Amino acid sequence: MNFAEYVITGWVLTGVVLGGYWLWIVQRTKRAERSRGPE
Amino acid sequence: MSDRLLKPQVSKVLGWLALASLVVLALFGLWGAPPDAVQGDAQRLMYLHVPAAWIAYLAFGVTALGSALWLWPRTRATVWDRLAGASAELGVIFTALTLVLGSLWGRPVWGVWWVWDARLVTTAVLFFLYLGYLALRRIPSSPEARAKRCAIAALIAFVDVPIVHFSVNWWRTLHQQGTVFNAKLDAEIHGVMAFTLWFGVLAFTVLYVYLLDRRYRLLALDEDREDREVQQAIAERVGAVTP
Amino acid sequence: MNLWREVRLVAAKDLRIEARSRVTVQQIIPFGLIVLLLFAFALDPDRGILRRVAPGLFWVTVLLAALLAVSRSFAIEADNGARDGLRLSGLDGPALFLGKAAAVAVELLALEIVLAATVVLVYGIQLNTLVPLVLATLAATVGVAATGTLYGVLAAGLRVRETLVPVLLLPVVAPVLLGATRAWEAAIDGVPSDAWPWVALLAVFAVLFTAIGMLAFGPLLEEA
Repeated sequence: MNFAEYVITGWVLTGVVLGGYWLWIVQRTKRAERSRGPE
Repeated sequence: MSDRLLKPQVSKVLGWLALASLVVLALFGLWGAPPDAVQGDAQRLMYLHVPAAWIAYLAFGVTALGSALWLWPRTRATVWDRLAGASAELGVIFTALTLVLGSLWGRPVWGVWWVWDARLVTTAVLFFLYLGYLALRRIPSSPEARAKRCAIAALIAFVDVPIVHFSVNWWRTLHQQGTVFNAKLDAEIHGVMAFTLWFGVLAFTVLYVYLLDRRYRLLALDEDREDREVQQAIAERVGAVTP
Repeated sequence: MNLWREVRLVAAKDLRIEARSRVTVQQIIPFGLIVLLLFAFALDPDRGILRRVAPGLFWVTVLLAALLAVSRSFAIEADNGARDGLRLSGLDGPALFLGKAAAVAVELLALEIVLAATVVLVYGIQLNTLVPLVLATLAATVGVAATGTLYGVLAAGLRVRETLVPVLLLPVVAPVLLGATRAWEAAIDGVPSDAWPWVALLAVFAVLFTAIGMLAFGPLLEEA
């Protein structure tokens, strides 16, 4: 691996982790709000 | 109400701001900033690694603060316990990110995946302290008992981190090897590179606050639902017992 | 009743239980010896390596055995509502903490004496300068006993206590492992006066976590 591959891996990994976490929160929140039902 | 930290409009704005600033960070980090004289393009990982480390410790501070505020009888409120919990989860993610990015950065620059530098070792210990805290949080209990347990654990960990850092730092400086690596970790940067680094810290902070609010909201929803389920189970039990 | 009498009362209770059940002597100390033996198997039988890493192995073994000692310290409170008994006893949180931690410390010291003798004989090291060595050992033991008792009560009522306490305790006592090992290395192989800064670190850790334990034990016992 040359430098660029490490750099790309790092940036992509960061994006995936943070983006994935955000997505997880959003989906779980939607589900939780739905199960709470109309209030 | 303790179901959110930010007003909905503020949260939305912050979310977009976070996204925008991360895009700008990527532009600067991957293209705008020049490669380092010594490290070449590997430098570009620093624009993520350092901000991630900053958030790892910031989140830890917030967890400790929330824990302290909850423990103090006069300020005790559900919001602080939830804040501590939400921040801890964010913290463990950013800590893991810091460690992985540190490895990815270290490998091309120093040829090794890990060095026993005080900051990295302390961050590794921080990671395990977080994991312990999160394990504690998962244990079902009355909200009061769990909050008390977690708050005390968080504060113990908070007190421990400087001790860990100090002792490891001392240990490594005694070994002299530290200086070579420290020189590279603390490489002076100027101009666009410095700007990108600071912008990265800012962008990550905005992202952290936004995610903290969102995670907090989810935590509140989940805990409220658990509460309702427990109340319902109790009510059914009572209903079943009393004919 | 004043603090010290209460502390002696609690410590004596725990140590009396130990004297009757002999768990430390029959289980924890053998565990420590077995671990030392396993280390000898795992590392090159070449005496040179064992000798060099002996302090580290010693302290890792002590830490692992401390997990058992702490677990035992709270296991004896688990049956027959003994924890409720503690709560209702009218004894102060700080006194309970100091008493239980002291009992654990005594058990660990007994273990350490046995392990140290073994390390000297089997691994072939010499304990030259005793004073910094002994002080480092005392400070480290107090630190581990205090922190262990603190996490022990924190996890006291939980079913996952036995797997949780190690995860919580070990990262926190990492500086103790570091300091104690460096102090031993300095006293045995290096310049003995180098041990003193580490002794100071260990002492600070011990005092700090004893203080925290005294504050937190009562509140945590309430929830256990």
